Amino acid sequence: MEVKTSSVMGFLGPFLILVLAFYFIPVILTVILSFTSMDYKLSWDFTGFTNFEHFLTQSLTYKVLLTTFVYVALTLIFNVGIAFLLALMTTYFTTHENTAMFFRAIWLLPRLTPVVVYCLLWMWIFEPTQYGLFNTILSLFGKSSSIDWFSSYPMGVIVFANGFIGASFGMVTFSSAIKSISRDYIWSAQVDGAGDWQIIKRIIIPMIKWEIMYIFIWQTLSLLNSYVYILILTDGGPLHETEVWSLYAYHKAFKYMEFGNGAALSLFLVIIGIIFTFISWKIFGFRKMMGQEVSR
Amino acid sequence: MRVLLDNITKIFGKVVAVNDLTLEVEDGKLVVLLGPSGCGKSTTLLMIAGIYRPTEGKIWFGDNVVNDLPPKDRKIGLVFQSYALYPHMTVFENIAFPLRLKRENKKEIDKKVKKISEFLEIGELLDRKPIQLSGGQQQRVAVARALVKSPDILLLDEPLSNLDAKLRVVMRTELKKMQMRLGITTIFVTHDQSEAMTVADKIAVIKNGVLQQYSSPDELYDIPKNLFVATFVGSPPMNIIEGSLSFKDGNLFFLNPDVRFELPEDMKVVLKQERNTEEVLFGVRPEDVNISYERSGSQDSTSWLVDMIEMMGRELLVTLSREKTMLKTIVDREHVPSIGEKVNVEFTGKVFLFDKYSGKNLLCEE
Repeated sequence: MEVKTSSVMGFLGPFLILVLAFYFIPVILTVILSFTSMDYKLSWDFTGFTNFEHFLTQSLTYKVLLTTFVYVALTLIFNVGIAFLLALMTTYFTTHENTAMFFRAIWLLPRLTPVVVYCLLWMWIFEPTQYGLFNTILSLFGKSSSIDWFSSYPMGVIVFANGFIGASFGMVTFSSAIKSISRDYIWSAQVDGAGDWQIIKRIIIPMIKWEIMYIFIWQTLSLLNSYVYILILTDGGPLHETEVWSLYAYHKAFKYMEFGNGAALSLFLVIIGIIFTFISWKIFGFRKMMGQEVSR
Repeated sequence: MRVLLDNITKIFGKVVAVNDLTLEVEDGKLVVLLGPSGCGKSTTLLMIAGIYRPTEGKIWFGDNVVNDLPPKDRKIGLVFQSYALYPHMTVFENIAFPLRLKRENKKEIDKKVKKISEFLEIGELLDRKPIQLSGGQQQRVAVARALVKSPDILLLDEPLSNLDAKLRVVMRTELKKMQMRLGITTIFVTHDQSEAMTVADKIAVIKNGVLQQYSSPDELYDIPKNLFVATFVGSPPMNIIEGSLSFKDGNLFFLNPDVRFELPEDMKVVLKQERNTEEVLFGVRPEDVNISYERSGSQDSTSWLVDMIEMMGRELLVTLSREKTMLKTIVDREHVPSIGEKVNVEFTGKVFLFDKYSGKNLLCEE
């Protein structure tokens, strides 16, 4: 069947315009911006690689890089781990579907609450006085002095706050993936002599490898770019302890009004993201997976 | 290993899947659980496997009650209709899986996998992934995986249903041969009566979770206990005609407005049983109906109309009618009738009588 170019453009057009305006152009702008010294005056003064040289020579940059790495790694483990655990609990270990659904719905609730409210809750949980939830719990175990979580364990605070809300996404994906595994495989493995742990390790995980890869990459990319919770909870403090790369870029651009510098930092993040994605594809055997028919 | 199901009941929510089933499988025999889909035969198999727990009743393996034993400790091999070969493992890994779980040493595993795969003629496929195998090969791998740990009992859940018709006939013979060579107690679930008849030492016919009859294939065919078994076993199915019995001049007759058959001597016992003789079902297998073209008057059998002729290969399936009564018969191809022709009918084999309401075979002792 022959398709007219004009009708193709007619159907694709509206969406293409949206993609162009909100995805493609910002990337181009970021690239261009990163080679200017744009500040609050918003003038396009091209300065070549000055911005990059600038942040490469600052020691804070390396501290931020390390912080980002630690933050992303810890949150990812927490996030994907809890998601997988929740998915297992609500599928493999729960035969009663309504109970499982109720439980999953509860874990999705934070997604519906405004970010500020969610952060406020965590502020109460980590409240440094005796009225904070964690401190109250500690005092129940006989610990008299309160812990100032925000200054003693700032990294823990942001990992917890981000990890808990992030887990629900993986939970939903994993639980539907586990449920789509034919019961025959599980039963067969049981008869073959596998216990729960063996079934999880040798049957379930290999069979949902694809979904694990997807969640792993998705969560990494979004964690690299997310700073809202951190901004509200710690604002990068104390003393840059929780200053991750995207927050660093945000601060540069919107706190110090160094848009050129901020753009350069963002561009760096984009490149890290792309490199990471390719490495993950290699690790998970993306090509092989695309080649094989998905059979369950 | 002898398997005994002792008054087994399984209830899912409000549905009674298996109802008070008692069944003994003798050591070394192949028993088929036969019934239409949803009759509870697979549920029964899964209870024997330990995947479902019976709501009531006991399951015995030899001298032990195994109700509380998890599947992995039951020493069973299980083959599913879907084969359930793990797609991320090679054939070798699939077959070796039960042994690896038992933490047997590598050499021993290699030896056992090699032996069983040679036995089942899949030695060359060990490096392949399940997706690269044909249906028949997948089935063999599934059987190999079930047998490699030398189980006491082999459970087969519709193992042939995913194969094409030709292969199915070949594989069922092979399965039977293999079972006889190994002498392993086997429980085989199927909805296909001809498959059941060919492989089974004994067949348990199940309907709506209730055992209808448990006997050898011959007995099932010759002496069906009720209407369900009579019509489920045998292909094409038995002819069933509604009517009543009447006794006249020392002879027993079956009659309805369209037909009148004289029944054989031995059926007179029915009258002594003080059973309902007004509403009965008359049954005769198509292969026991003979047609002839001359007017003989020996039976009240004249003038049936040839309605339809279906080609079945070696024979023809001919549908006859007389007013509202229909009768199917198998005719060999030397005497092909033509549609619209009038023929006479004679019963050469056994005929059956069933109670219209209970479906019971009136000739069976209680």
